[in-house]
Amino acid sequence: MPAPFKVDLKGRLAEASSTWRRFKRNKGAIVGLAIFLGVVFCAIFADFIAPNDPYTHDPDNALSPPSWKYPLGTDEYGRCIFSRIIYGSRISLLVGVVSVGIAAVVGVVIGLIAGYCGGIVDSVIMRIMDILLAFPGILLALLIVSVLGRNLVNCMVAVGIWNIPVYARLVRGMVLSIKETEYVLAAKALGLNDLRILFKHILPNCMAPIIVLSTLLMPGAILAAAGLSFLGLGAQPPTPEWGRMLSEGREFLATAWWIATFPGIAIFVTVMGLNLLGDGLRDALDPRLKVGRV
Amino acid sequence: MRGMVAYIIRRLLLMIPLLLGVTLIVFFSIHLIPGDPVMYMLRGRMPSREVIERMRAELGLNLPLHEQYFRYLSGLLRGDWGTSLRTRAPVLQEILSRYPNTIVLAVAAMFISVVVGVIAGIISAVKRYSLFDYLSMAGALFGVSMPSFWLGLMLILIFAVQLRLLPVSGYKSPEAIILPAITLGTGGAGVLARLTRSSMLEVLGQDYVRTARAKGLAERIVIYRHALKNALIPVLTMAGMQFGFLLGGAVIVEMIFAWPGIGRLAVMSIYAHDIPVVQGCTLFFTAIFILTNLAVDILYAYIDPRIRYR
Repeated sequence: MPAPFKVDLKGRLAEASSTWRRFKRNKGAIVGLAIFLGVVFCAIFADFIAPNDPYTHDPDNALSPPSWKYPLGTDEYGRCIFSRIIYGSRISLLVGVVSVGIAAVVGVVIGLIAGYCGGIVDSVIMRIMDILLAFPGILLALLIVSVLGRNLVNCMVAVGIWNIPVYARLVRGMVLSIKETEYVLAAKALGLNDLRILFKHILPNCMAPIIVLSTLLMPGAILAAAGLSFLGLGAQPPTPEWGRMLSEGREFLATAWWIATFPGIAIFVTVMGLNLLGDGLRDALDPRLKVGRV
Repeated sequence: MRGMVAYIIRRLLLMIPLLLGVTLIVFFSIHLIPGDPVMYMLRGRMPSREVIERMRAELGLNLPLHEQYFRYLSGLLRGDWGTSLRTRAPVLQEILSRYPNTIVLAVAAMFISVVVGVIAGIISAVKRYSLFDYLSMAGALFGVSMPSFWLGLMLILIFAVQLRLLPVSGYKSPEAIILPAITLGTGGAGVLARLTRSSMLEVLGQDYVRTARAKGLAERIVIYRHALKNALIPVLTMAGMQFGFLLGGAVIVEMIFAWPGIGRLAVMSIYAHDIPVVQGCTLFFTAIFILTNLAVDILYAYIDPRIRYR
């Protein structure tokens, strides 16, 4: 009968507090956190913040410049750009979380299996990951969307699949070193089954880099999904998605610059905030990842 | 030299299974969807039964799957990449006619990325914590975070619509490449500036740099002859990888500026459900990406001899 492992709550709290102290020292990270919380706030309280309904047409005020009634102007159908941006924060966060979530769940499991099993299983899995990594930039996502169909869900799946190998590689590398540690060998000697060792003893020790990687990948995922929507391959009208809104404003660039300008600023600020937050978390949680950051 | 040749041969051999894997994914992408691929390709059209049967025969869809794959593979090797459903032209011909335009754009963007990024990174590292350092690193963060499709539109708004200095789109005049190249190169410049700075700072802290300074060498010689050479090794790798990302990024930029490259062809083909062309573009881009990475690795091994003996 294996002995129960005690959770060192005091130690964990001390560790968290020292991580927070390191994080707090980084001004950029605090700015990033503030931006991120701001976007989350907008997403949660969109119903209260948005002055107008994001879908309601107002033909009399179509293509109106910014005013008191429409703080960031209106689009060709007279819809409030500000309200659409506020509601759009929900879509962007959803896209970021779901696509990175898909990549994390699948990639982590693949990485755990490859690293723990080793041998032929590891070789086969990692060669498949190499193949996925061989597709440049957004192209794999384009291929997936072209096959699955153009909508937001497929767009999230495509961006998710694109990021799977990144998690798989990271986790595999960690498992290779963790599985040789004494506490894993002790767990094996106690007769614990492989699944329990993988998920109870190895995975928790991979969590810090996985969290850091997730925050580092999220801005890229949001950008990629916005890019796909900009091309008309992601969110479809009338969804208030920032990339889509930008695309819709393209033909009115000379006459109504606000339609394309403000959604772009929203994407830019959100992505910058997440980049700063990711950098800060990386430095505070796992400085070893610093070299690989781009 | 022999070590170098052996390294190149090993890398070239490793490329073969990778390329085969890519062809597998591209080939099976169309077979993963439920239902008849022909019906999917003809989505939105009302073909007669004869047309469907003819297409099935043309595409070899009546053969077992593995035979279809080998047929596809042998076609690829013979230069038969299929036929465009939209234009009925050979896919490879469609790609090759646009390929030079994409390469020109990617090279111009790469030039901007490397020149701006590396110079800004070096000055930032040498003048650490100066106003220039703060401004250039803020600029780099902006560059990394800015969506290329938004930057492109803003450049059009300012330089084409308001100031009327540059054309909105097209490719006929030489100045038409300026805006797309800046749009595509800005993100890469940000990445390279950050990497060059951190790499330079790491090298500047090494013992041999301290020794060079202790010898009384001029600071310029220490920086350019001793530090820069070593600091640029990771930058070179990243620049090579950037080229692949530029190819991917070119998809969106080519659409914004109506640049007649492969990226634009790929997106237009998705709109038209022209799957053979989408597959061809993906395969072509990926092959170029793999070859570029190989070239960078070889260059890397040439510069840093430790690599080829690993």
